[in-house]
Amino acid sequence: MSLSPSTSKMLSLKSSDGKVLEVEEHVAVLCETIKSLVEDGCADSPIPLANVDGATLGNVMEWCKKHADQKASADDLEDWDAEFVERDQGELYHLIMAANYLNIKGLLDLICQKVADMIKGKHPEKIREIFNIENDFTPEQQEQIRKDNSWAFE
Amino acid sequence: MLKRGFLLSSTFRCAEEKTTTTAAAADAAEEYDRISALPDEVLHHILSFMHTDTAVRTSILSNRWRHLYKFNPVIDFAPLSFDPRRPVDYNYITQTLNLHRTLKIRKFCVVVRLGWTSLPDIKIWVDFAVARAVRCLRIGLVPFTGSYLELPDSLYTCNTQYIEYMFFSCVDFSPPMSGFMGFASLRTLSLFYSKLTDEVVMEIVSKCLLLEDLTIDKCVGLSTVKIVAPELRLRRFVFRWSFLGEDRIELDVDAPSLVSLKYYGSLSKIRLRKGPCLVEARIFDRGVDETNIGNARALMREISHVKLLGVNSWFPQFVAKQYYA
Repeated sequence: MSLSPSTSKMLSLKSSDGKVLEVEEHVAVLCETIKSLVEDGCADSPIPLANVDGATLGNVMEWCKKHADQKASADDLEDWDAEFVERDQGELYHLIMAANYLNIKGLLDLICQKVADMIKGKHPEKIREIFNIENDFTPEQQEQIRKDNSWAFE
Repeated sequence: MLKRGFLLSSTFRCAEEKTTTTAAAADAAEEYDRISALPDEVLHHILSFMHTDTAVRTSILSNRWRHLYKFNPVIDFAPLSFDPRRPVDYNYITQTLNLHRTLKIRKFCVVVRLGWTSLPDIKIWVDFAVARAVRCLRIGLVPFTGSYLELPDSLYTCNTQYIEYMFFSCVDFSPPMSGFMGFASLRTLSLFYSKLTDEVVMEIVSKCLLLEDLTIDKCVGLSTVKIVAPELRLRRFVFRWSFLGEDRIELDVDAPSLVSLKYYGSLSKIRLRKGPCLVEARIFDRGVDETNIGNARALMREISHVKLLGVNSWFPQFVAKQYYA
């Protein structure tokens, strides 16, 4: 089966909240999960994506469309990606879950890198504050953790 | 729930809607700890984009994070701050490896300063990485003190068939001369300030058939290096001789797929067979005189078709002698 843009047909994707999105096949197959369905010939009816809501699906397909564009240069994509990940944590969370579920390595890497960058170089207390992580350790436990890996906390 | 209508037209037209139509914008509860709700494997993946010390520090965030770093598929030790008055302690690396709980790791990278009085046992590190089917192995030891650390035998067995990228400095790179099968998946090999022999280079070149990038930089123990392999996919080759008086190293290059050659040595010591794919050549030497102008002329014939030529002071001397003498 040819997946080149010129011969690409449209696929219907149905989100968890019932929205149906029509996407060109050569864009949608950037999702490995969808690609396997297409290759197995199971992509005729609207493909139900039970774990992705409509808005997130729109964002995911926007990324796929950009990355399926063979005219885009590597530099161009890098700039575009940098802008794409400028989102609030809720959106990033839904994008990560969707990229993981749809098995889009490039998108998953991009957002995980973004989240890692939000953690790097920050004091634990600051990280907890950014992500609303509740510190459920006792002071003794914290002391023990610092002791276990004292080299990393020096 | 959504603030603006979601475009459900026959073609995909959502690009301009990015900032407004997301479920996340709708559930405005920013107080919620979403990151800790991610599945373990996603959190491991996030940790894989950090240096190991940063990943280890996340263990203090909460119980959810306490053991996650032990399953990080990437081990990447950046150099710690260095106090020249204190002996270097490498135990933190071994200690972290002992706590690790994965059966597979993708990347194992240690960059560490060597102390004047103590050297690390890199065999333990390499054994650890090889046993976990590592694909990218990088051990960078600095500064270059003239010690060449021994690598374990495990590196040269068939257990390393998954390694695609390998970088070492200050090691004695010596696969056994009998029974070495090459590195079946190896694409990039970089050796800096390491101990090598001509035979080892020939073994690598003839047995690592997927090798595309080879760097031999300031290595010792060489006298006649032959990069002669018609079957080889080698595309980029960097050779720089060491400072340690090894300016007599002869270099033979005959690799038909070669795209880029960087050579820091003596014009009189390199023999290059014209490669049809060669696009970039960077040639550095101290100068041209009566003794090596013939070599320079021969070399220029072999690289006359490149699109990018990098040279240093020998080149104007060559042009002057060749065309204006």
